[in-house]
Amino acid sequence: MLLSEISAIISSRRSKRTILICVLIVLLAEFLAWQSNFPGLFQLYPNGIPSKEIINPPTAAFLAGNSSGQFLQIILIWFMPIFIIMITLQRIIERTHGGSNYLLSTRMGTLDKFFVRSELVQFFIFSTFYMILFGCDFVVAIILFHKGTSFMGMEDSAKYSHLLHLEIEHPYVAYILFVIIVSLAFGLFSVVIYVLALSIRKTILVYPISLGLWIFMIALPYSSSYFTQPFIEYDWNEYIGSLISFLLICVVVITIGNVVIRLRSKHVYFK
Amino acid sequence: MKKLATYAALSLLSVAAVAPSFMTEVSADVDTVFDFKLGMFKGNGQTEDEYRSNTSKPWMVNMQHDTEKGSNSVATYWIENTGLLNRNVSKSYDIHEGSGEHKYSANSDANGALIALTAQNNNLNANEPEVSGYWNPED
Repeated sequence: MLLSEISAIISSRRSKRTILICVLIVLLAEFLAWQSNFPGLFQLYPNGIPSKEIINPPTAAFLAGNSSGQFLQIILIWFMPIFIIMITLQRIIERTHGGSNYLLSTRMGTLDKFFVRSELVQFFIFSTFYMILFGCDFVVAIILFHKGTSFMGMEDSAKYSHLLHLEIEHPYVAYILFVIIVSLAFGLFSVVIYVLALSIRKTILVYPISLGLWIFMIALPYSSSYFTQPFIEYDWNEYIGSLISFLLICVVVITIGNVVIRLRSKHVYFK
Repeated sequence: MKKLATYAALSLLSVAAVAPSFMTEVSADVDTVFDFKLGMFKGNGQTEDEYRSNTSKPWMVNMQHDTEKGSNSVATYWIENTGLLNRNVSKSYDIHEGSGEHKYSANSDANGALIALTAQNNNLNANEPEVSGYWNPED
């Protein structure tokens, strides 16, 4: 099932284009971060830029939300549900209209097994995709800002936040952990969208509902942005609070969605 | 008519000659109070334009209040040349509320130009905090 989904992505022009757009967004954001820092520094320090004037790579990397190119971060993070739908789920929604999910599920055995496996496949594909995307971006940031040690001033805030203090003490380890956690979270949200897609089965509704849910989670008092963005002044309370509220909403939607799909399946998949 | 045109030309010339020195005089060593709102999801906020002369002096910002969290909030600041196209003429810096005066160097295209202090929330959340303090285009 995983291999068939991967080969479907590889053979789909829409999926490949969407992945290419994601890669270009990340690369362009890095370029803009470089461009807003280095030309000015070359003017000020023609004989060599001191490392304390250069942003350190984890702070320059995509998830840190450097002020240059932040509109690209907003596009990729805010519209994450749209990218996920474009990469795999649009195809799945179209497939449900043809009834071919029924064929797949009967070939695999029970319907329950089919749902669990297909949800795991979505989770695996998107967690891996975002891990590779953000991992490659981090490598690019390390190359472009390799001598940098500056945190852009966030050092001043470290004494007020234990989490930020740890991040500044170990920026590389912290950023890698953020990449892993954010990728797993995005993988989980892809399962949410998958469940929504199978429950709703109408493309025109899946896009706004999944996007609305995601923006709602960003706009909550415990905003999802607190666990997706490293090097900010918020402490463990906000970090754990935002992670818990994100997980709770995902679990609730996935559970309700699965119940709806099972109830509907008697009428839709076996009609 | 010819006389009128001559007077008009002379007046324009004298205004053009006096204006830069006047603007320099106004902006030099004068801290300006600022108070503006930042947009949600990293939307920018900006002060009125101030003239920065041809100088190697740093620009200065002191953010005394940021309503985002109630205490210990941070906002990202830089200066923009507000000419035809707004463009960043310094690096951006995260300033902690109440951390005092911060002085930073500006790019050469900030000199002899109207610039504005620009800021955005450093977090990607939906808050629209208000920031206040004082700044100087050449401290």
